[in-house]
Amino acid sequence: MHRGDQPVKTDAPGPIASSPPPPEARPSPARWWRAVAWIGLYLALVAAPLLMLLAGPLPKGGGRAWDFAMALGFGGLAVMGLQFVLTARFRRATAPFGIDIIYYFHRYAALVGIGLVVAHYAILRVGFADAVGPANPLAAPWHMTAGRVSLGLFVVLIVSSLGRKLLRIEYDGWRIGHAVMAVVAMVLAIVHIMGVGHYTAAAWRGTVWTAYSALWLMVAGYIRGWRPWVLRRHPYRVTSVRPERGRSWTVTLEPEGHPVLRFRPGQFAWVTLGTSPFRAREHPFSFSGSAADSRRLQFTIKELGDFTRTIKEVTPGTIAYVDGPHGVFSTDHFPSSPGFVFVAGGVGIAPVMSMLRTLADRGDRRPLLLIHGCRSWDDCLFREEVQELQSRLTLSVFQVLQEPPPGWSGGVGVLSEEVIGPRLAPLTASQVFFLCGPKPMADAVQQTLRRRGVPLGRIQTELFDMA
Amino acid sequence: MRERIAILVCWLTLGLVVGLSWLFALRHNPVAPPPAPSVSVAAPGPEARPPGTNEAGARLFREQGCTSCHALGGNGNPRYPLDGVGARLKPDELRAWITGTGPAAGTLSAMVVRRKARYLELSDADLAALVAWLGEARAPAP
Repeated sequence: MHRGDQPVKTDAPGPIASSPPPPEARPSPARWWRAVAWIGLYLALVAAPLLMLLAGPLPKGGGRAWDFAMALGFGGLAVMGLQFVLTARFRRATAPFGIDIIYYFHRYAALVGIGLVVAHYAILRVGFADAVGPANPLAAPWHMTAGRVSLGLFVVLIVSSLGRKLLRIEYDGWRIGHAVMAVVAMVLAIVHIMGVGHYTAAAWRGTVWTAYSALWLMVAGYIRGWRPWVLRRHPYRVTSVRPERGRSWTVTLEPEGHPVLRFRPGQFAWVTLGTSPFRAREHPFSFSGSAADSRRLQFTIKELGDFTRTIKEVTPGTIAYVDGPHGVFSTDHFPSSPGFVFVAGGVGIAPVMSMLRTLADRGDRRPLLLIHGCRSWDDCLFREEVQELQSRLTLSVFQVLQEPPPGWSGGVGVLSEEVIGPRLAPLTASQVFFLCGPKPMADAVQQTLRRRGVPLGRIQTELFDMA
Repeated sequence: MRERIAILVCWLTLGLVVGLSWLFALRHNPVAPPPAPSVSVAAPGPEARPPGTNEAGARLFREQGCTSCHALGGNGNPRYPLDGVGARLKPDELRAWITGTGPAAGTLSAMVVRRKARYLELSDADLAALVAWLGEARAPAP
């Protein structure tokens, strides 16, 4: 999905209360330990069905290849079931990582899961064709057909997700199809295991397995039922939609009858505009306004896809829902950094604007450098406000244009090592770097920084493409 | 860096599942089994049948999906091999185990009894042919 949205300028005249960063915004080794603990829990949940199989007396074996294939099937299904948990956006669990990386992991974990399930099927199909029986659903036992259909659906799920853009599948339709297919495939897989019955026949195993399967489906229910229900109780209204440079728009939302949600600058939220949260038509956008603004939320959105092209048609008064905040891309995690360097490509400046505005509202005077790559001077999103912010912050700005106007004195080209290297040279020893923009740009800048000896822990990135 | 950790956790997940699966296979089958049936014997061929001439019984064994749960001559589900069953059980016992009735009903799980109930619908002639065919399965496992 396009994180096409960006932060917005808080040019609104409202009183911007200078508030300290949220108390949990600490740079912490504890964050590492939490991350390790959550990864450990994930691996434990993947292993749980296999450990359950290993525990206690075992029924008679069926040969190593046979039992290996069976165990792979259980493991593959555990990985697939946990895919629901990964995308449930549990804030506490995703906080140490950033939810963008959780979605990234979700994609690769799907490949692990399908690999295991395909291996399960292939070993049995090749080595034990008689036991697998006929593929014809009229002749095959129902639980075997359930397994085959489940496998087919998992393949369709993955192909339609990884190849969504190539196949030109429209995003909203894909999302609904993805959710429906995932639940149906899981239910069929559980039916398959229950139908085969061999490993779950012992009473306690059957109970544990039922509870474990129920956990996945409960998470699916939480995502599609509970969370939209909570969102519905915290509506927002669009108060303005303002055109910005570079085919971008800033949407401002104000809460209706509840306090505005608080976020750290640089974070993002899934936003639903003009429809019920139950319809799952939400899109991730960065907050672009100041986190110190306690009255409204702003998102800056670039016209990149089917949905974002319709932003300009949104009218004030439209209902909106905001699921967030999410993400770890924030200066708030580095209160003791001597300063910050922001490298943004195009609309990637949105979360950076949120950080700059917030730092200005808090009266932060640490030295900052902003490097912003744009196509042309006309497209240079937020260039006026960046200039204004220089009077409130210790902020240096270096803009790099691919199509510079005559007499341009800033950078020219893309954000390559030759162009930005000299600017970065004096800063690599101590600063924290924030990179946001198209992936090739972020990768190139990250390599530049790595070559100059910046440790990975001081390079913060936001993955732009989340689905 | 986060991408690298994500990929690393994927590999860990794969390694964990494959490792535990193999451990499970070893623990479940402490002695190396005879070579797994290869593709060449996957299709029910003449060698799948016990010595005997009961063509109707052989056909029923195939058509009724017996191989989803049982192996004979290396074909089918190796969990419950039927090799030599003709030497172990008498015809009326074979009939009870096929249909999940009588003494067999007390030993089998409720789910298996339900699944076997459909063999009660076989005609007497078909059931007799199946029992006769299995009664000829006296050879030990290959």
